[in-house]
Amino acid sequence: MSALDTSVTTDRLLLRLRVEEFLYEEAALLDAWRLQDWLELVDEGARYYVPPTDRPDARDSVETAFIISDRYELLVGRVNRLETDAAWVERPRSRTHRMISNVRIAGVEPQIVARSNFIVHRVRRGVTDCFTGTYEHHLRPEGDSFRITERWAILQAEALQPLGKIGFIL
Amino acid sequence: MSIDTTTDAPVFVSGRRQLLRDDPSTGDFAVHRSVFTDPALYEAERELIFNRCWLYAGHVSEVPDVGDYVTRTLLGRPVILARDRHGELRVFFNTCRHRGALVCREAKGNDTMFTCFYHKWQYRNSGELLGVPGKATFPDSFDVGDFGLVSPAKVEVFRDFVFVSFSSDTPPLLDYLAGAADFIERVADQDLGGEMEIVDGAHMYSMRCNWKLVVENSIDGYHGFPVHATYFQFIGSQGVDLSVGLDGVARDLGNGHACLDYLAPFGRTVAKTTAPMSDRAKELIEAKRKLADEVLGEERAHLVADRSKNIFVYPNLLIIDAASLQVRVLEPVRTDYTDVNSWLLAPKGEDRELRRQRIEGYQEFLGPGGLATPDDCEALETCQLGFESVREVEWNLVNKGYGTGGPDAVDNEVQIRAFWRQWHTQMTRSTIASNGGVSR
Repeated sequence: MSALDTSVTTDRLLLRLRVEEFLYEEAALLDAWRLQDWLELVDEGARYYVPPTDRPDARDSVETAFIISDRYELLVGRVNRLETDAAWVERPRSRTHRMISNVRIAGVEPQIVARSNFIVHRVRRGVTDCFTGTYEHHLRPEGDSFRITERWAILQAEALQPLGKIGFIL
Repeated sequence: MSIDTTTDAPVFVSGRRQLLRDDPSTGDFAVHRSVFTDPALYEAERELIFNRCWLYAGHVSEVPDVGDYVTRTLLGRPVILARDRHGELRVFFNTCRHRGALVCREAKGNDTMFTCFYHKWQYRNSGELLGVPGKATFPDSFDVGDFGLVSPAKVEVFRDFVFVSFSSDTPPLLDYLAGAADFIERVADQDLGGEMEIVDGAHMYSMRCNWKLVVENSIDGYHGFPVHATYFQFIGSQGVDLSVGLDGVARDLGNGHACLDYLAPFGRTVAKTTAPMSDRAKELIEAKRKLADEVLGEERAHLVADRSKNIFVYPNLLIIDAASLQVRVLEPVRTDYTDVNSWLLAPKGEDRELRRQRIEGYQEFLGPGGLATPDDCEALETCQLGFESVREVEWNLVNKGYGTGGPDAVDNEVQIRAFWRQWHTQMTRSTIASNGGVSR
């Protein structure tokens, strides 16, 4: 058995810890509805994807009709809309509670790709819904943090029944 | 429940005498809120409406090749749509004739056979029972030829839309569709000589409300600006000219079918460019619009390409031909809960840039993640909650534009009244027949 290359292992673990910290901070901003602060984490030109529940493996949002495949302008529009008083579905706002685990670094070149499992509990008007799935974050290092260049929320639900709809940023 | 045989007045399963007020002389039109809350009425609807009407089951393009199949649920029943070995489109109840298990458990695929894994009974994709293990030990009277997969009482296809009926008494599909047939054709004609197809990716969502609220909302032009202001603000911010507004008419298409037929500010991949579109998309759309004139003639091309249409095919199919093209099917689950299944429809072989535009047009407004549809969910779910006070606040008004002599503009309600009248007729006539043996 060869000696463990501790420097490589340490680098990998440190990267994962940095990414985890980033994901936890992101989740906290979204749970707190600090959407403009969250948008600060997102690169201009970034994309936000939610594939349809019958095609969680889909990667091409023109070949397949995604539930959400926001280009940056639409994502900004989505956030701005949610901050008005007329985004009725989120007035009053959902209370969301995100759990993130199983964080894995899937790639580092040309960008860091991090996959993680999520559970988002959403409570609203007497109903608790549980959104489960996998996040995939494409991250560009910036300073001692990251910026999101691509963000996937891949639901592992068979359908949005009985989840209903996705009114908040998943 | 008592049955009054002395008058023609309907007595509904709930025991109420009146669920609809309809008086053209005063313009009074109101719907009793118990129609959204009463479990007995809901059960009656399933029998008297959904078991007796044509129901959309799927689109021919979902099973293009021999052996292709898709499975889904229709009014709670698991069904299979299959292209059999002869190339025929078939619809089967997905249940083994032996003891009931599903004979197909995949969402879609391609196979020559459906095999029940419980006792290994095997069916051809054309329905015949091929064989059963241990055949020699069954009684002589058991003939496998009598135990093929069962199909709904009627299956018909109109312009690649597949419909089924669970009743053999349902009139032929074209008669049933009445004025809706031409509007379905105005959608199907967007193939411009080619074919239409369902786009990969189904959006299966739900609303915590009665299915009839979703029907009303899908053809309601009155709610557009108050509910969807943030959508119009967004497309306006992208450079879409909003000065056009929603300009058109609401139509009663007969037999409960109805539609909105209008010009709108948003872009249409068949006809209308908007400022934020790419140059390439604009070129392609302009070329397509010219082709529409050639293929369809100018008058027809205007109806097909330029005009947006929210088409309601009674009782539970909506074809929303607006900034995109959506097939939306309502699956009632409980009196206060409805599954909504939604697909995009598009010309087969559409240019990628137009397909992208079509999908974005959908996502900006429609579906469970759009900037607009989730707000409709909120509206309808709060209506449902409001109906809890039905004992004290009994009636919904559907009287906008009624008897006023004004035009049937898209923000009036003639189309919603058309739905309610058909609903009422079916519930009334059938309820009397089922309760008192009196038929009209």
